[in-house]
Amino acid sequence: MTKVELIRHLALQLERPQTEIRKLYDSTVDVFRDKLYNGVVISIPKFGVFSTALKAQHISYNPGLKKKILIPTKNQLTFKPSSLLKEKLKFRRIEDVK
Amino acid sequence: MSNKIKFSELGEAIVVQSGLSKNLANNFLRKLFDYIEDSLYNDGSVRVPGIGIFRLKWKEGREGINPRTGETIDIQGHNQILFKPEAGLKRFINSDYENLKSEVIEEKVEDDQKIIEIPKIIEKPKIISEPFQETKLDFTEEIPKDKEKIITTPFEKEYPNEDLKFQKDSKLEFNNISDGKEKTTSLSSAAANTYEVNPKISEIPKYEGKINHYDEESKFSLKTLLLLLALLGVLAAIIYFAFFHNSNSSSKNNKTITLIDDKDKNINANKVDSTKVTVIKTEESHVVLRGDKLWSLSERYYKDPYLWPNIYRINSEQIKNPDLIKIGQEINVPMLEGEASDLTNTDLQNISDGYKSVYSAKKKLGKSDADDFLNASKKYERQIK
Repeated sequence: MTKVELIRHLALQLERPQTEIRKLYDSTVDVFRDKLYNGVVISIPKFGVFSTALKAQHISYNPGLKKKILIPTKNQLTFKPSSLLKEKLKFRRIEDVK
Repeated sequence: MSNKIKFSELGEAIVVQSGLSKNLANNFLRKLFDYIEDSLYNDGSVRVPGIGIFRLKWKEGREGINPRTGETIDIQGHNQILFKPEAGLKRFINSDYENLKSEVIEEKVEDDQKIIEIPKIIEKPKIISEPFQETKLDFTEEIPKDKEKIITTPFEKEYPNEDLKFQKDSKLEFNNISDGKEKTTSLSSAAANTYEVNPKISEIPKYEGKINHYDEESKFSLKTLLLLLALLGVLAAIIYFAFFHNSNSSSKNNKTITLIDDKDKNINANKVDSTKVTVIKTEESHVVLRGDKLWSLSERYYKDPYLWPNIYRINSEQIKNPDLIKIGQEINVPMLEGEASDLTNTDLQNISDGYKSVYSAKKKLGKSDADDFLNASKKYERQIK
């Protein structure tokens, strides 16, 4: 689903003009970026936790080059789903639906 | 700022950002995450633009062992919820580490500089062009002048002179040897020259007394002698480079000579350095190998791939399409004045010009991404202090 479709969908659900929803959506993404950049953990009840962790530089192996490579420090974003969400989706077989 | 924020705080932050009502923001957030949950349930994957992709991955059931009791347990098939952040978001949170790039390690991890793979690079001789040679000579002349006023140290004074003589001799020697001769012979001749130099050094202290006693007149004559020798050196260099400019062997010979010099004149090591420093590498030539790109060259030489237009700027005549360089092509890589992380004004200007030249080349070829390079050029121009 594209952004336009998503905004249309949410606007219908909230019975609000799309311009407002677009503004809200853009600011949500901005807030996400800012907070995660500053290392803030965003926890959303019944959904999960977004957090970042600094991964130190380490030596790894590139099977394509067959050589060791030095991978630099990076900030890794992870999402840990809440147990509720996990439980809800645990036995959902998508193959069955399709 | 607390390290953890919850739903309501997220809503508040959004209210501040968007200027809409708090109620609406909270409703919106709830609906957004409900929507993600629902589409995960229905479709198994959902893309949230600007944030990332959530998807379910089915794990087949298997037999597991309880590590505490050692009992076998039956693990049912179940879903895993995976999240992959969008590239833009990833880049944004990593913007502090943007300049860090992964490097290939050749052998063991001991010396960083030795490990990093350095592909075959054909180096030009250290002294690149004649103007450089001249500046070097000027400098060597100035040293003794300054020194004379303070202390008369013929040892130091004699040394650059000696160096020049030596260079001159060796170069003339090369000239006499025709192109067909092998490296080894020229090397041996160079070695022979170094032996000639040695006794001269040992003689130098003898001058010491004389110069102290002599008047300014003698100093003056020494000066003129130095000047003459310097001029001869320049001439020799010009002839030398006319013949051996591109040959690799000449550069090797040069190197060996300087090495021997260092060994012979340990006492004057500092002086040697000071004269060497004046010869700054401004360009390096690189023969394109398979897999090379301007981007990768820039990464190798400047440690920052985004500076590749600086290479293109110099080679724009031989490279028509900046996206395409040919194997075996010889490319000149201009060196930066500063570091990639700390660019000087001239560097910035050069890079900006480079982006402009890429822009005009792309415009000629009718590429759609040409305008991006014009914008980038402006970006670098703005950084000039």
